[in-house]
Amino acid sequence: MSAALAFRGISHSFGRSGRMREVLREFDLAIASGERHAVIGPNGAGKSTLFNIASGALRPSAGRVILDGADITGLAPFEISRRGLARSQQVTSLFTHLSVRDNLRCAVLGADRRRYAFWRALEGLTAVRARAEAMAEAVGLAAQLDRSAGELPYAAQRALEIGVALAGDAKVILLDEPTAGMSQIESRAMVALIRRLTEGRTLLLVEHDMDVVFGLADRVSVLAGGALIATGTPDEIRGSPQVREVYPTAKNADA
Amino acid sequence: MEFLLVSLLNGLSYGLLLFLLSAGLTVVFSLMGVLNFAHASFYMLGAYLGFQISLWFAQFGGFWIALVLAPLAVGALGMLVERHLLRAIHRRGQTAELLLTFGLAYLIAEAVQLLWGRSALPFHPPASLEGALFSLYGSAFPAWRAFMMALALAMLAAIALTLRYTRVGLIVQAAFTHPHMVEALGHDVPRIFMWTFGAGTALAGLAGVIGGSAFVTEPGMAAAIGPIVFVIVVIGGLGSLPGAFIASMAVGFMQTFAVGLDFAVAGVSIAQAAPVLPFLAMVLVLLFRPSGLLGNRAD
Amino acid sequence: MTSRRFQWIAFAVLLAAPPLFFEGGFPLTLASQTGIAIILALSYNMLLGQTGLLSFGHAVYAGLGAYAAIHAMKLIGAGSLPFPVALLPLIGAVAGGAVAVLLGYVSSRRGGLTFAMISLGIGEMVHAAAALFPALFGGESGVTADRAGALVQNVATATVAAVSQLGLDFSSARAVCWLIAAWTLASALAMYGFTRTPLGRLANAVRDNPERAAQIGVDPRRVRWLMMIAAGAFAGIAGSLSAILFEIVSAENLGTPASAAILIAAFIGGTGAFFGPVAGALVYTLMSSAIAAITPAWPMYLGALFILIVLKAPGGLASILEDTRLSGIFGQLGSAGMALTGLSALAVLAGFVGLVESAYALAGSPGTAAGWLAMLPGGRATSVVLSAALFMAGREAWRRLAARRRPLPNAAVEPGRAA
Repeated sequence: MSAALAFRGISHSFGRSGRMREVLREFDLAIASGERHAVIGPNGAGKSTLFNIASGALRPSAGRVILDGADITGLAPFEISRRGLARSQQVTSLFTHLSVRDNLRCAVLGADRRRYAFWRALEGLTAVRARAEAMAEAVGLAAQLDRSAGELPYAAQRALEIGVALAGDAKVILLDEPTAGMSQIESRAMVALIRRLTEGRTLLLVEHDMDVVFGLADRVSVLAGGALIATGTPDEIRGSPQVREVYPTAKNADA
Repeated sequence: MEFLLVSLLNGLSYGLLLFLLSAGLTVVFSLMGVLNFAHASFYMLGAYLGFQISLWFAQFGGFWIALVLAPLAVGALGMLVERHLLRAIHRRGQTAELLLTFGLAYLIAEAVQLLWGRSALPFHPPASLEGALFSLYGSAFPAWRAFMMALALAMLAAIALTLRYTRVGLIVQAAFTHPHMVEALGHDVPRIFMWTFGAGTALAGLAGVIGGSAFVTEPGMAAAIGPIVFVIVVIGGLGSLPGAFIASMAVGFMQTFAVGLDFAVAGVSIAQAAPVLPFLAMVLVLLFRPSGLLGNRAD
Repeated sequence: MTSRRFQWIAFAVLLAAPPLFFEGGFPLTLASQTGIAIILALSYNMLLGQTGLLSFGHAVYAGLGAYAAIHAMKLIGAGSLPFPVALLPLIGAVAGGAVAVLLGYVSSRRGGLTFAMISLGIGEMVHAAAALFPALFGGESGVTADRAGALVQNVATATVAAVSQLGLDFSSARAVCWLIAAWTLASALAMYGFTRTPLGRLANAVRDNPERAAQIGVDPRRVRWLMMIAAGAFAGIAGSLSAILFEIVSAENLGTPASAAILIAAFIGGTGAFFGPVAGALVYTLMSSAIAAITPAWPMYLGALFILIVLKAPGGLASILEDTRLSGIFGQLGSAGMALTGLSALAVLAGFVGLVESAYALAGSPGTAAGWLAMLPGGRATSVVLSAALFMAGREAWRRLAARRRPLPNAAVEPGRAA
């Protein structure tokens, strides 16, 4: 089985020479096609940096990122997105003045060849509109299609955030703390939503909520101090004494 | 040889004046996130107030009094602008602030013409600085140029020392990035911003007294130097003080040398092309370094 | 939908009225200038309102389009270019767009403040460079051409004779006003259509959040660049029309003051609504011509209005109208309150105008308006005191009324704001 997404020897440092801080060190991870993989670790472990490197927002100091067999290291974010990797943001990041429909429609267009067309009406692209509306339906925003994203309540914005990430039909999805700031009930609904929508796709997830991690992931990786200290099934990770040492909350979650 | 030395000194003094301006702009931008489009207009106000004050106090060594009072007056005006205009829109972001200061530049240009008329004013360096400091190959190096350079260097050293060795720089910068934290520590953030903006505009006012007396004091002076200062900031990298220094010097030398050169490229004389050069340099730098020479701040 | 259609019909009627009812003179010049300003402001809004790009150099595209058109007009007049004068704006559009292809390459990488600064630098560069090539840009005096001479070349002499027999003149101010009205309507429709295309919507996405746009597969730079080209082409149309109208183009058309005028017009009108810049263009041309005829202080009023809009109504005049329509302002005041609010605003305005006019008169450049004030019994002193009193009383009344009215529904959308 070939990896849908692989990190090969990724290292990354911030700061100028003299005062460098290494955030990732020789990071290796391969995520199989169709796998749901969660990365956990204490704050500052390098999880967000990993996502930024995968999506092209950062260029790693060393190492390569392989998407579906092709090297995508150093490509611009929009090129990586077109090759089938989509991500959501930890802090909600939407097109605030656009409607819910248009947020999703832009996400569909971004993956479409006609994205820069100025000779045809947007409304004429009925398939694009239909897919945007179907995604709104899927994330539970069908009733809010015409509201602008900036006016939505927080949970709805989080749902739209996921919808924007998924609307382009990418094969590999990166979700950065999808349930951050949510109540228990909202969080549970979000997990169900993610499970449903990522069916058949590859998912890489960063999450603090252990219920979410153990409820969603096929495999879990633990990142601490910029290095991968363990990878395994949720049960293996829960049982690992090494993991408990650096990341005590990992044991709190019950399956 | 003579041309080279004289141009070198002229370029140096012009470059330092440009840096005095671009430093004020950069400091205000990097400390409080405001790109002040009216920075050159405060420079112009410095020149006009400097002229007016040195006229009022002509018997008491007017220029020297103007050199102190005009920057203070311009700084006070800057504080008023921050307090009553900028503060109201700070949370709406940098574009709103840029638009506001753009409107301000427009109004200041109009007000200056209303108060002082449309022609150039007879504002000159004081007689005590008129003479030559020394001669080089028969051409005199005016004392006021040396004074201008010394003053610019002293001001810049003062800024650098304040920012580096006192807590002021630290607090002001933190007030921009973490306003709530700084507020919790007992600092009055709006007041910090007001003083910062006042200091930046006072610096522009000082440059105005120097530049206005050294070159020209007329209603078009802000529109003439403003774009050059902005170009310098872009070349150096938005928010970078060392970048602004390198770019100021480069532009200063470029323009003084070009004016003195007497040959043509492709039918265009270099001397005539001098006004285009800073802008052309900006385009070239951007082609190879989109963030400017020393810029790393993405916006 | 019907309201949208109504707006367009009203717009078309407004454009057609001046050449329909006037034969020449000031109204037609004003109408022609307004049409050109409308195209400029709308094209500018493709950048600021739709893509979030604050440009200080939009006149470059209009000006170079105008130069292309005036040179073409000269060639047509000399009989060496067989091209209809009425279609000259097409040449201007190609020129403006082509210039934007070049300059956009340099400036489209970044949005926000960096873009704004670069646009200023590029504007200055083009303006300064124009002085270096007098053969092309006409030096101090500019390039002139004769539209009548060019038009004669367009049609057979027999036709010209026949047409003038009928009392029609292709080169009359009236004919030019018709031409400008037609191009204004066509350009506005095209730009409106542009907002409803995939590129138009993705421009909004790049305006709101360029990083996120990149994450969904959109290249922000490409979108900015394409929008700059489109905006440059429409600005080129406006420039060509001004070349036809004034029969002269000079380096002034390229400069920062010209760019600033476009920015001011578009922003005053409102960058958040399609017709906002149209209103701004109207206000701007009225001030720079009709108001300018009676007072030298008009730039002061324009600047004050601009700052007032930035501070209090960032959505421009369009948002004020919209808020009023949504009854956010007058809702709870009733008709008496409405009248009082209007009166207090009028008092503030009158007081401000009185003070500014007095200041200009004192400074030795009184306009006609200041002359009217001086006719008050007691002369200047009365007018200053009266103005100050009006201003302060009006402000106080406005404040008290404001305290009673409901807060506005949603604060107007801030255009061009980096997310």
